[in-house]
Amino acid sequence: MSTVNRYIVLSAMAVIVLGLSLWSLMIGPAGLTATEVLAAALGMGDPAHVLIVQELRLPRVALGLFAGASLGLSGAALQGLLRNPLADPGVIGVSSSAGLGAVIAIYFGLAQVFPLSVQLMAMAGALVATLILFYLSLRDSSILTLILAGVGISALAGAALSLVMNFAPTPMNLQDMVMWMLGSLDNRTSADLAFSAPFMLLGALCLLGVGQGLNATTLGEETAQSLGINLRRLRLQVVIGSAFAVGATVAACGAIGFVGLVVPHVMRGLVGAAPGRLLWPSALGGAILLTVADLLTRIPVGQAQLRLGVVTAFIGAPLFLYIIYRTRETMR
Amino acid sequence: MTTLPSYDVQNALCGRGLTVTAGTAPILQGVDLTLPKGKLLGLIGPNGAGKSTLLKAVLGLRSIDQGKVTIDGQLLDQLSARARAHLMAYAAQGAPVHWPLTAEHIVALGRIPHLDPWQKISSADMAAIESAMKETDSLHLRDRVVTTLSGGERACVLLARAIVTAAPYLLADEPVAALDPYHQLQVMDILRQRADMGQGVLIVLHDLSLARRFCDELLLLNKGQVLAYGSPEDVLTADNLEKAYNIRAAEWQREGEHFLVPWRRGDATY
Repeated sequence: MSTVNRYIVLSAMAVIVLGLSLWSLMIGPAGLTATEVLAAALGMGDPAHVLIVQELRLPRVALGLFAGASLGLSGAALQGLLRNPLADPGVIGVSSSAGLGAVIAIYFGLAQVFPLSVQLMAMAGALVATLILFYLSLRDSSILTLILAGVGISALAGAALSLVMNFAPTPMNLQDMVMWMLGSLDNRTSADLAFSAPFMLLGALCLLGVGQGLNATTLGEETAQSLGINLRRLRLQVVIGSAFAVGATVAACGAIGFVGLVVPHVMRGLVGAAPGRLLWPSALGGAILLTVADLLTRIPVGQAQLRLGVVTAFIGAPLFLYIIYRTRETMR
Repeated sequence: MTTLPSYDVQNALCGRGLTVTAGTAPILQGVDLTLPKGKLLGLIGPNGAGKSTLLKAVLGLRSIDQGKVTIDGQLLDQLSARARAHLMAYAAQGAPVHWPLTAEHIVALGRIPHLDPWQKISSADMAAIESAMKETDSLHLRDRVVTTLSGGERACVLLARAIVTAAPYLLADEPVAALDPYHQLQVMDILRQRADMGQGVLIVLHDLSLARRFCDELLLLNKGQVLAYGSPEDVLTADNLEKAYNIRAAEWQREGEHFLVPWRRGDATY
């Protein structure tokens, strides 16, 4: 398998990220040119443009980049640790559990009392789901166990979600919640960014440090230990890191699936399959994918607006099935 | 049971009174073993005798209930994971590889104990990787993806992975299981050569002829206890084989080397 130099790939991806961000900043009811956008971002030019770019569009674009990077990175790290190409925060039920936490915080009014509670509850939900998943499927790295555990966790989170709806004191709309769970970057403010970005960065910091450990687990966990890798610390770092990254992402933009599945899969073809070398490329790739998906949601389709999670599912779910098709012979 | 020459514990990997239980079932009971540098020690015994558990206990991969392991006189418990990795290289049973990496990349993983978390492979590491792959005759496979290799090729690549760590002790769990006769002999030759070069080599084996011919010493485990420990000649007696494996073996010699073939079950009536 020939792979392109990793630094060339990373540089090219960074350029694409910048280009897409600029494009995304230009789109909106008030059409702005690239120079107008850049000037406004720096606080110069028409004050109306400054307001639009800095208060409305930048938070959306930045949140998309952070969220995409968090999801791509979490997917790559989880796949590495579980030695399983189908591990994705959405597929394995971590996102829906984070969503459950966020919904509890939103619909029980915790969010009004203490705004950070949405993030904290979402991260707690993600953490519980990841721990259950690890307990069930870390032993044998079997694809079947992982997916079945994911089905179970998702079903449990879904059931708990509808239970929460029954008891929530505030009058609410089932459709609102379903729509929220499908994910969106619409109308996000700099406050949303400020509440989530620190947790996403903390998560990323945890996850970007596990490269060498993940590479070693390619040879199995015991051999990794014999190479001096502290397995307990490695697991903890991935569990906490992905809970932070996914929890904060879900709290800010809903449960967006499949980014963590698609991106590492594509990156493997470009930079090779070593799980540790996939971390940075997957973070950048996630940022690209989510920004593209967000651009697509702004194409008018019928009456309603396209949801972010719908776009990523249309890209990711067929690939998910394809990977199953490719690996079904080795499934245990 | 024969008495072994007393080796210098300052220059050997030693297990003393190793006892491991799973729940209430004893897996190992008071096992002693000594692996001096420059020797090839074969660990034999029937399925379920505790061979793999013993290997993992010595490596510190499995906690022991009683007993102690020392490496060159230092207690294993007091060594960091990294220090252990510098002293003992481990080739796991079945040579697992979970991602489609190139052979060279797999071998490079064996250099991890020599690298800081963010450090890149240096030219000295590259030289070690090449030399290890040459030694196992796998250098021509360096750019191949390991998951596409044959069992024999893969075994050589993973053996190079264990060699490149450059630890004074090499522990391999069934390194010749599921290999064709050519690769069995190749792997045994390489391990024999490692021992002659001064490495202490401990391997789990099922093939009694290979054990008889290649190993300096054998440790015969049966039901978690040492049944016999000494030179292959002294360990592979008809009596011991009957007791441990419930078999009778036929023994021959060729070119001055003895070999034996399992011939009949011990309880066979024909």
